[in-house]
Amino acid sequence: MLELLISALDVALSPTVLIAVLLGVILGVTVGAIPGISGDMAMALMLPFVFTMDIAPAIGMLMGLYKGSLFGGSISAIMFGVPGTPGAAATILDGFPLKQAGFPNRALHTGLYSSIIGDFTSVLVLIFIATPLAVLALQFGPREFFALYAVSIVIIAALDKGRVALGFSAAAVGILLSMVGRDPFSGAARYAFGSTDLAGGLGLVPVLIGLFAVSEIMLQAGRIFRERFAHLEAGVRQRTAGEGYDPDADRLSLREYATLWRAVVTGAATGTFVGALPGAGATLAGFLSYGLAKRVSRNSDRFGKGSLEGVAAPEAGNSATAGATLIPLFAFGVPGSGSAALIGAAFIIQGITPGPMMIESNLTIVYAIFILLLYGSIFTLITSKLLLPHYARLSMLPPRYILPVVLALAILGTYAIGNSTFDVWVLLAAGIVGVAMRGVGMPIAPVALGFILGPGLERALRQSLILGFNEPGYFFSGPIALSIYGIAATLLLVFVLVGRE
Amino acid sequence: MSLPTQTPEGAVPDTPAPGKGLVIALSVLACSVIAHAVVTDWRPSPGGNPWLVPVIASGLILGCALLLALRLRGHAAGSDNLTAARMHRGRDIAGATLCTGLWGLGFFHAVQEMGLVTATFLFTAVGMLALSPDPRRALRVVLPLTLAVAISFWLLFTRLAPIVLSDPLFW
Repeated sequence: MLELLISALDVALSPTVLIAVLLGVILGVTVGAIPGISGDMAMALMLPFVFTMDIAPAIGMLMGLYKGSLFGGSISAIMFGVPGTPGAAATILDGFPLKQAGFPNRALHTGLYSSIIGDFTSVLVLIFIATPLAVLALQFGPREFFALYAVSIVIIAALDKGRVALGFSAAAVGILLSMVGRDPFSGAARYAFGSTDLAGGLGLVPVLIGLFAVSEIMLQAGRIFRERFAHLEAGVRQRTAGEGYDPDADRLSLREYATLWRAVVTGAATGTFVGALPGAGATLAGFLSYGLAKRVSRNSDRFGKGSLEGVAAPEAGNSATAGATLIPLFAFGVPGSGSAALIGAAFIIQGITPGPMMIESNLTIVYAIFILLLYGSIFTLITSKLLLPHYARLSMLPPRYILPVVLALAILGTYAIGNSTFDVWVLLAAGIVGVAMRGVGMPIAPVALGFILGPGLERALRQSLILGFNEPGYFFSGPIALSIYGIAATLLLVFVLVGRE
Repeated sequence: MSLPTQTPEGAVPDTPAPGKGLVIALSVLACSVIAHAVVTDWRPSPGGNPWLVPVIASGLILGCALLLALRLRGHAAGSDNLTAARMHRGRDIAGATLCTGLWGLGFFHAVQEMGLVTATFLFTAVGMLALSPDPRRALRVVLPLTLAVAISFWLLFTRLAPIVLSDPLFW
C-alpha cells in the first residue's frame, strides 16, 4: 500500500504533471470567465492534444481546466451578470447585485473560497466513499429522476416568498421552451412551424446567456441612455472607479467569511450529492444549493439583493460536482456529466477504459489522479487569488465601455459553439423575452431551471409511464422516490414553519 | 449575513407587481400551446404522447394565471401617476431593447461581411460612444480600448475557439 502511494506521489508530483495542472487551472479560470466559452468546450478543444501527452499530465491538464472553469464561470457572472459557464448561472442572482453595490472583490473572494471548499469536499468524497455513493446513484431509475427533477422545480419555483405562482409559471415557461424541437420518443417536430432550425431545438447556451446577460445589457443600456439625455430617475445605480469605489470596504475578512458556513456546507453537500447523480450536473447543483441555502438562511430576505450567502452556496454547490461527477465514471465507467464524458474520452484515448477494471489494473494512476485533484484545488486557490484583483478592477470600469464588449462577446461566443446563425437569433430573442419578463416582475431563474430540467423531466416521466403501464401509483412506489418526496415534503414544511417564525 | 451600510437601495431594480397584462399574456401563451398541440397531428408514441409535457406545463401556467387574476381582484389598481411613470419607463426600455437588438444583429452581420476585426472595432466603438455622455472626450479612451478588444477577439475566435469566417481580419 505504502509502495503504491509512493509511486502515485512520484507520478502526481512530477514537474510535467505539476506544470500541466497549473496550466490547465489558469486556462480554465480564463475560459470560464469568458461568457460563451464553457469549460466543456475548452476540454473538447484540448482532446486532440491529449494524444501527444502521457496519461498523468493529460488528465491533470483536463482536470485543472475543469476545476478552473467551474470557478472561472463565477467571475463573469459576478462582474458582468453573464454566466461564464452554465454552472455559474445561479451565482448571478446575488453575485451581480453585490458587484453593482460596489463589492466585487468580496463577491469574487466569497465565490473563490466556497468553490475551493466545495471542490475539496467532493474530491474527498470521491476518494473515500466513491463506491457506496455510486451504487446509490446507479439505483436511480426514471421514477427516481422524475422525483428529483420535480422536487428541484418545486423548490426553485418556491424561492420567492409570496410569488410562488409567478415562480411556477416561469418554470413552466422554461419547460415549454425546452419542448421546442424533436420529441425524443416519436421524433415528431414540436413547435417547429416547419423550420428545420426550430426542429433542432433551442440551445442551452444561447437561451441562458440571452435570458441572463443580454436582457441585463438591454436594460442597462436603456438606463445609461436615459440618464444621458434626461436625468429623470436614478434606476439601477452602479458604482464605478470614478464614483467613489472604496477598495477597503470591499475586503472580505476571514471572520466575515466564517459566518457563511451554513451556506457553504449546504452548497458543498448538495453539490456533492447532485454531482454524483448521472446527468444532473453543475447547473442544477448551483440552483438547488442556492434554493436550499436561501431556505436555511437567517437572512433569506437578502437573497437576490446582494447576499454573500447567495454567492457562497451556488459556488460551493457547482464546484462540489467536480470530484463527485467522477464517482460513477471511476466506479462504474458511467460518465455523470459532459465534463466526465470528456475525461472518460481522454482515458480511452490513452488506452485505459474507465470503470472498475481501471481501479483494479491502474491503481497507481487512479491514486495519482486523486492526489492531483487535491493539489489542483490548491492551485486554483493560488492562481485565482493572484488573478482576482485584476478582474475586480476591470469590473469597476464604467458600464458604457463594458456593455458593447460583453454583448459582442456573448454573440460571438454563442456563435462559436456551433457556428450557427440560428443560435444568435435565439440569443437575442431570449434577451428580449428576459427584458419582458423582468418588466412584468417574473423571475428569470425558474425559467432557466425549467429549460435545463425540461428534457430530463419529460424523459423520466414518459419512461416511468412505460415502466409503470401508465399507472400513477408507480411514481410513488419506489423507496428512493418516496424518500425524495418525503425529504422534499419535510423541507417544505420546515420552510413554511421557519417562514412563519 | 447582512452587508454594511454601503449597499445602495437601488442596486437591484424594483420588482413590479404582476398586472392584468401578465395574466392575459400567460393565458394566451398557455391556450396557444394547448391549441397547437390539439390541432397538430403529432406521431403518437409509448409513454404518453408528445403533447403530454407541453399540455401539463400549459395547465400549470393557466392555474398560476388564475391565481394571479384572483389576487389582482383583491388589490386596488395603482395610481394614475404610477401607471404613467411605468408606461414612460416601459417605452424607454422597449426603445433600448430594440436598439440593442438591432446593434447585435448589425454586429453579427458585419462580422460576416466586413471581417471580425473591422466589425468589432467599429461596432464596439459606436456602442461605447453612443452610451458616453460626451462622445468627443470619450474618443481618447474608446479608440485604444476598441482596438485592444478587436485584437483580443481575433486571438480568441481565430486561435482559441475558431468560428467560421470568410476572412477573419478585414473584408
